[in-house]
Amino acid sequence: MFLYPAIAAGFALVAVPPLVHLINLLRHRRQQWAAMDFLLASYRRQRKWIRLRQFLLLLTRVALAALLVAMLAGWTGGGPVAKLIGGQTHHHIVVLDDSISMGAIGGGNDAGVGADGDAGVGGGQTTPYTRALAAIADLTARIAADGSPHQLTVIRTSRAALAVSTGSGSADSAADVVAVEITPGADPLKTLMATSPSTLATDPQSAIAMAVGLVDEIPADVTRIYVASDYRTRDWQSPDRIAASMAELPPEVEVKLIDCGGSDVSAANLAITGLSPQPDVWVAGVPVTMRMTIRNFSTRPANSIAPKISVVRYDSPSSVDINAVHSGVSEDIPAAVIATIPPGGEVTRTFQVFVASPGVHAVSVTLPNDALQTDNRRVCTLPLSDAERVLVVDGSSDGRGGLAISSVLDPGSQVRVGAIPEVRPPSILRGITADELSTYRAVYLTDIDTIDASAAESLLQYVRRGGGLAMFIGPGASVDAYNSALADRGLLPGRLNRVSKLDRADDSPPDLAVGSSRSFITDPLRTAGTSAFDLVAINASWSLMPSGDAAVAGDANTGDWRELLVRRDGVPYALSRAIGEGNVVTVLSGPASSSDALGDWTNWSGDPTFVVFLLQSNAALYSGAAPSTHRLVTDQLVVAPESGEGSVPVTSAIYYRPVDSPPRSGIEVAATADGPPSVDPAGVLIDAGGSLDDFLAAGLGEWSYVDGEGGVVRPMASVIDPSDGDLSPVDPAAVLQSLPGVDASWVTAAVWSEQNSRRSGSTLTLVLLGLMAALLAVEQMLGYWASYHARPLTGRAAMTRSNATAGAAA
Amino acid sequence: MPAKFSRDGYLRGDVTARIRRLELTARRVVEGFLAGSHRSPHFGQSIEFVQHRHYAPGDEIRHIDWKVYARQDKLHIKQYEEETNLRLHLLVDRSASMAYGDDGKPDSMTSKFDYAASIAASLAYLSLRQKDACGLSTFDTAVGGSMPARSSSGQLQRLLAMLDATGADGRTAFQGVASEVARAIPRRGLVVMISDLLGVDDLVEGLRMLRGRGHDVAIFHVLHDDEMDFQFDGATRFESLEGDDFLQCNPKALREGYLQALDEFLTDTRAACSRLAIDYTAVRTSDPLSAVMATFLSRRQGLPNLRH
Repeated sequence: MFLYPAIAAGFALVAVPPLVHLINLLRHRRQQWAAMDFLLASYRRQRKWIRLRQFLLLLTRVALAALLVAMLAGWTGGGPVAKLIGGQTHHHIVVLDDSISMGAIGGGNDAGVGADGDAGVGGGQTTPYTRALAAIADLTARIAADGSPHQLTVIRTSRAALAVSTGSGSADSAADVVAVEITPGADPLKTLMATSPSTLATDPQSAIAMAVGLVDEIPADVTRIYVASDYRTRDWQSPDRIAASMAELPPEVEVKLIDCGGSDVSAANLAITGLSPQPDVWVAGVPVTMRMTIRNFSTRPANSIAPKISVVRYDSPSSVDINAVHSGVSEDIPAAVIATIPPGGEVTRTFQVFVASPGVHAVSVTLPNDALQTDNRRVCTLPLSDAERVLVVDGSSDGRGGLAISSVLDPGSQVRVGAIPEVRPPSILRGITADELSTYRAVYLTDIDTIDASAAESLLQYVRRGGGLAMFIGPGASVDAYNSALADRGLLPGRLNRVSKLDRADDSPPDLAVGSSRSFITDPLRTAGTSAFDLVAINASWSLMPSGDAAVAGDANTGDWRELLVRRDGVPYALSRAIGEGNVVTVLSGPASSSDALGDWTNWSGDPTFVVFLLQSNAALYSGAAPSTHRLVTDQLVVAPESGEGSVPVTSAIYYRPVDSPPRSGIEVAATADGPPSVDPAGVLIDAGGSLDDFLAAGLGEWSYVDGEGGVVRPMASVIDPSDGDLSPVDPAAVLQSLPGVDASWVTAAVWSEQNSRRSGSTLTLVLLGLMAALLAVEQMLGYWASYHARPLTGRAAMTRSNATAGAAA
Repeated sequence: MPAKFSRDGYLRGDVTARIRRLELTARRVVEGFLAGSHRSPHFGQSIEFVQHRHYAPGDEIRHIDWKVYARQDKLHIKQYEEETNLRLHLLVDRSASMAYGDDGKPDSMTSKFDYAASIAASLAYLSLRQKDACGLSTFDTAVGGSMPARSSSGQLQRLLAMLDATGADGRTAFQGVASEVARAIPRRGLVVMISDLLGVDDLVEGLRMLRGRGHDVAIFHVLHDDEMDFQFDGATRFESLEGDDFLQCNPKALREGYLQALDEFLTDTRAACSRLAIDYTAVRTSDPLSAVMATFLSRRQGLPNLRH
């Protein structure tokens, strides 16, 4: 009823005019008077009118005092009386977009975009999210001042999306407030007003669906839905789903689309959309190639971009330093300046990181500030291990196959590849189990004549768990055994058919070429061109039956076979495939095979391209079991302790969320019944935990726990979905057009605030002002009428005076 | 509570100096037994020939001196005028309402009674200087004090002493006063009434009685500026000077009605005086007394002689 209820106490001032009147009655002046008869006659003649005028004057002054206090107290109409007589109930449902783009700084600063290449901080700190919060505050203030019962529900899109991802569509768990009664003086949105945009790239569809559901769940005389968003193209690129949700709305429900995006319709924004180590052996002391991708979401080219790259080394810290943003040792490494990125374009650059000590380290890349800063920094972890054992099963009679492989994996001298090859005869495969195989990071089978089903099954299980399997099929291979044991399990790209001879020809292209499938294994060879294989001679290799591909039963992660290398005649020579978490590479020839009939099948093992191929394949085999280097902020947060003999299960861990500045505080996470400590952010939301924002924070966090060897601190890289960096706005007309049958209207945040302030105060204030002016005029008129104001003599009275004077003067 | 006046010098020097040059002339020829400058209306009594003058149209034919006509063949009027003395009787209102305007200061001369007394003193001085008889009566509900008209040399001092000792008190019942005064004045003369006429009961009846006795009556209607303008402001309790009435009011609210009532009263009074052939003079206490007296006397010189 009042914007400032405390001032309403001033209504006591209405007693002032009567009091002044009474005091004046007591404070009258005494005057001895002779012409009493005329005075009494005048009084008798005008007594009724005088009293009426005085009463009206008093009433007017009381009304003026009441109006003045009402204006100062911000009276907005209504009141308890309206409730008593059954005022309309209102339910306001606010869908608050808190996606990443809502944190874009207004003003459209072209950081890194333009000819000069300067990168600066955004001009203002106003973001669509702050405008959205202000819009909600305006709405709350207005309805709080209204006398009718008002309920307010606020649903953040990130919360709604998380709740829906868990299968829960309940607004109770997702909404910040649900149908909370808004009363003057109450501040139910205090917590909400302290929030900031989330790290989720969500569209408002889930929240809108929730809001539509609330319309039926919470009956009210008047229900309005407000969607406060920046209305970016990405979020509203498929309004059909939103329209489908809104189609269920009753026709009387009004929908307000509050555009909080501001005027920066094409703000410059660069985003790091990818940062990860390339698949490799990731061994300490071996340089790791990192790949970063930067996207220009602006409509103008970005020039001279200088990303800042830092390596954070964790040299076995035992405890978390809460007074630093991380517990590692940060070291910047030089990075090349990216000359330009075209509008909407993406550039990928690689750089090498060298860390000598094993353990999980981190790499961070930061871009200069621009409109949206959330996507300007990205981190990933870099798990480096010591050199690991590799099993090489050599079935060749002369041992040349095993030698060719092991000499590449362990060239000796100072060169480290990260593998310790162990060459074993085929007999090792008899009765071998997957667990036994798991002690090896990769398994190479070369020139194996036959393999039984048990070994094949163990190999399959091994690969599924992340192991790497490479097979070089030599001339002595048993077609039946291979087909039945390996091909039927999907470990071969097809059923072996026969030995396919490649005729020699002069002036022909090289015998071997890179296949059509893109793979990082052959990327270096593809870059070198066909001439790289000029010295490679292929005499024969195995061919496959046309329809020999076999699915891997029960494994949904099985990918298609990729053709890595092909012979000159188009016959596949090397292929790869992912099975489960592992990878399989199959070469349809031994590295140094020979047969009586055909002689040496190939001289490839002596060619440098073989070394490249084998190292790249080894990296692919290693990467199958490589730990993840980052997690999406919505993914489960789990401790990945070192496993091995003698390791002690981690029963609890403390998670330190990424922060911009210390100090840090940790959140204790207990181990689950069937695994290490982990947190599902969606589960935190459902459990109404207050630390959801901690688990959704992007950046470099840390786990701290104790294992068998003492305290361990491991970095955890949490990243966002960078696709929300596209700040291009949607066309309002298109959105409204996509919502047929919905009483929807579009309004900007500024207009919305103005409308609310005008509704809450201005209109009524103007009315009060007008009424006050009218009452003032009436008061003056009554005062004049009641002869409280001086006026000239007129008529007979004036004549009386002049007559008397004239008589005296005459 | 009646106010008491004790003022010296009602005969102010500036006033007497000015009116000394003036001649108090009765509007009518009044009866008198002392020689003076006033013509007697009684032809045939104590007649002395004074002069001849040329006949003028309107002169009575019986006054033509036919002997002179026979000698000179011209018409002359033989004037037998007998000088009589003016019997001036001053009636000064000493009711409580006349005390209005007295601010309590010793030298103040602002009350209506002060002003009325000054008028009376001035007229008395003038008449006595002309060897006319002058008497004084003060009144409220009755004649408070009375001094018969005399032309002796000590009369002026006695009159002034009587005025000086008179205070304003009570209401005014004029018919009884007029009757009493009429009885006290044996011959017709000039009766000058000086009053505010406020609270005066039976004014017209009293004036008619005086006029019925053949007196030439003049009225000085003395009112204070406050009473004429009523320029009061703020909540005021008006308490009657002549009774227990009071009124607590906002004066501005009543001003128009008050002035209207006053105007009606003045108009009625003026009309009544006109009907009774009474010389009516309205006076404000702020008016210069000399101007008032000069105006009064000048006007009276210009008045036509009226006969009953």
